[in-house]
Amino acid sequence: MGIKIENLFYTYGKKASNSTLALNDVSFAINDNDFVAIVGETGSGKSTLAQCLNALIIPDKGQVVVDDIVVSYKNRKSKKMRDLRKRVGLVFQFPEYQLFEETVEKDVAFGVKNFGVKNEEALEEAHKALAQVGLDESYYKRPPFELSGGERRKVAIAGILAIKPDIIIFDEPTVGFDPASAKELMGLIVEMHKHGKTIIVITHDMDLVNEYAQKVFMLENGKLAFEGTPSELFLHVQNYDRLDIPKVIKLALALKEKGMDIDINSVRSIDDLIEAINCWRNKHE
Amino acid sequence: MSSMTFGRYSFRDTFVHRLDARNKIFLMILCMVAIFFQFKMWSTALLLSGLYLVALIILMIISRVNILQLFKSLSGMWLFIIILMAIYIFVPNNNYYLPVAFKIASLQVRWDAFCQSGYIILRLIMMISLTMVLTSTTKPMDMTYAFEWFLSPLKLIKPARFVAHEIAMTLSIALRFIPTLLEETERIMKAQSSRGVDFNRGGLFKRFGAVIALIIPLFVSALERSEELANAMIVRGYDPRANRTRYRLLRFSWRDIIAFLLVAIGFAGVIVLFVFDRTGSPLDLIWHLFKVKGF
Repeated sequence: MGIKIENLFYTYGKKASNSTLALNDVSFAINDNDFVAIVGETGSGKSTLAQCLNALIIPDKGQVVVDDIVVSYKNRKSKKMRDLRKRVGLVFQFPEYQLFEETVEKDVAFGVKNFGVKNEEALEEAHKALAQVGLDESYYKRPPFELSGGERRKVAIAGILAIKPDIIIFDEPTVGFDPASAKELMGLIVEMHKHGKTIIVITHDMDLVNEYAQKVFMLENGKLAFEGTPSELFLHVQNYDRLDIPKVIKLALALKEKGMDIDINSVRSIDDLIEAINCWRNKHE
Repeated sequence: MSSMTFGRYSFRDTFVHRLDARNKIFLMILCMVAIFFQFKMWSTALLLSGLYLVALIILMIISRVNILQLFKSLSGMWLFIIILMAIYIFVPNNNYYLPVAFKIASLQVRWDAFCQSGYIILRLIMMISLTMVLTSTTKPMDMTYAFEWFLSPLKLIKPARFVAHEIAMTLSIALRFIPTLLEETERIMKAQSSRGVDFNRGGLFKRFGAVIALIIPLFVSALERSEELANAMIVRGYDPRANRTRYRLLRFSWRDIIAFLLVAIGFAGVIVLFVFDRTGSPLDLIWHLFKVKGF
C-alpha cells in the first residue's frame, strides 16, 4: 500500500485578501516500506502536505490516494477519512503537547479506543506500543506530565504506534532534542521501518536525511522542486544556501573537486567517508 | 480558526477609530446601560429598539465595521436563542396578556413568549455589535491603557497602589495571546484528530471527551507559556512597581467631545423615557394603536 499524490493544490485563507498558495500542483508517489524525507525551507508547504496525507486538510484540487481511500475535495465528507487516519499516523511537531490523560497507558490507549477497540484490548495495544518505544511497566501508571521531554515524546509516538498505522509521518521528530536523544529517537524510527512501516519524515536536518532517508522530496514555494536520493539532492542544491548540506558531504564534495574520486552516493556518515578515502588511497598506492 | 476576524482590530482612519479609547469605553458602557433599561410598555421598548438599531447601523457604517462578519459570528447563537425561547414558552408566566399563538396539549403559548425572548435576543445582539465596534476600532494596547486609567483611582489606596498597572499588564498579555492560543487550539485539535478524535460528530458523551482532549493540553501549554513569559520578563528586569513613562499618550480631542455629547443627549433622553415609562406617559397612545391593529 503506497501513497499517490496527484496534482495537489491547497490555499490558506481562500477568501482573504492575503491568501497563501501552500501547495501548487504537487505530484509524487511513495512506495510501501519506503523511508522518505520531505525537505524545504519554512513555509514551503511540507506540513500542509503531511496534513493532506492524513486528511486533516482537504486539498482544494487534486487527490491523495492511499490504497482504496481517496482524499479529495469531492470526498471530503466521506467516512473513509477517519479510516485513513488509522492507516496513516501523523506525529506532529512537539507531540508531547497533545498528552492529557492521567496515566501514560491511558493516554496511549486513547487513540486506539477512538477507533472502536475495547478498553482492555486497547490497553494491551498500548503496552505493546510502549515497549516498542522502550518504556517499561514502571511508566504505565505514571502521569505523563511528570515525565521528561524525551519520555513524553516517546509516549506520544507510542500513542500513534498503538493505532498500528501502516504509514507513519513524523513532522520534525528530533526538533528540540539533544544529539543523543535525537539519535535514540531515530533508532526507534528505523526499527519501525524494519518492521515494515512506511516512514515519512519532514525535516530541516540534512544530516538526518543523509543518514536515514532512501528518497527525498524537496518542496519550494509549494511546488515539488526535487525528487531523488539524498546524495542526488546534495549535488542538486550545492549552491543553494537555504539548505544546509551535511558537513560530511561538503567535505566529500571538496575532496572530489580536488581530484579524489569519491562516490558521493556511498557517503552517509564519517565512517563511510573514511572508507571511501581509504579505498581511493589503496587504488592509488 | 486563525482566520477568525470577528471583533479583531482593523486599521482604518475613521472618526470612531480616532476617538480616545477611554471615551469609547465609557460611552459603550453608557449605551449598554441604556439598551438594558427594562421598559414596561412595549410601545416605548419597540420605539427605542428601532432607534438603537438605526444608530448602531450608522455607527457601524461610520466605523467601517464589517456588518456581514457580525451576522456570521452570530450564527453560533442559535442554540442560545432556542433555549431562551423554550424557557419563555414552557415556564408559566402570569404576566402574559397577549393572545394565544398556539396550544401544545394543555399548554397555551402566548405571543408574549416570542416577543419577550425576541426582545432579549435583540438587545444581546446590539450589545455584541457595540463590543465589536469597540474592539474593531481600538488598538488592544490603547484599550489596556484606558483600563489602567480607569483603575488609576486605586493608586490612592496604599495597599492597592500597584494593582492598576498589574491588571492592565495582565489584560494586555491576555489580549496579545488570544491569536497564539487560537493557533495552539487548532494545532491540538489536528493532533487529536489524527488520533481518531472527531470534534464534529458523535453523541454528547463523546463530544465531552473530545473537548477534554482539547482543553487539558491547551491549559498545560498555556501554563507553560505563562511561566516562560514570566521568567523572560524577570530576566529583562521587569518590575511592576517601577514608575514608568509612556511613548504614546491617550488624548481627548474635539471628536471625543462631539461623541460624548451625542451619547450623553441620547442617554438623557432614554432616562426621561424611562421615568415616563414608570409613571405613565403619552406614549401609551402608540401602544393602543398597536393593540387596535391586533398586534
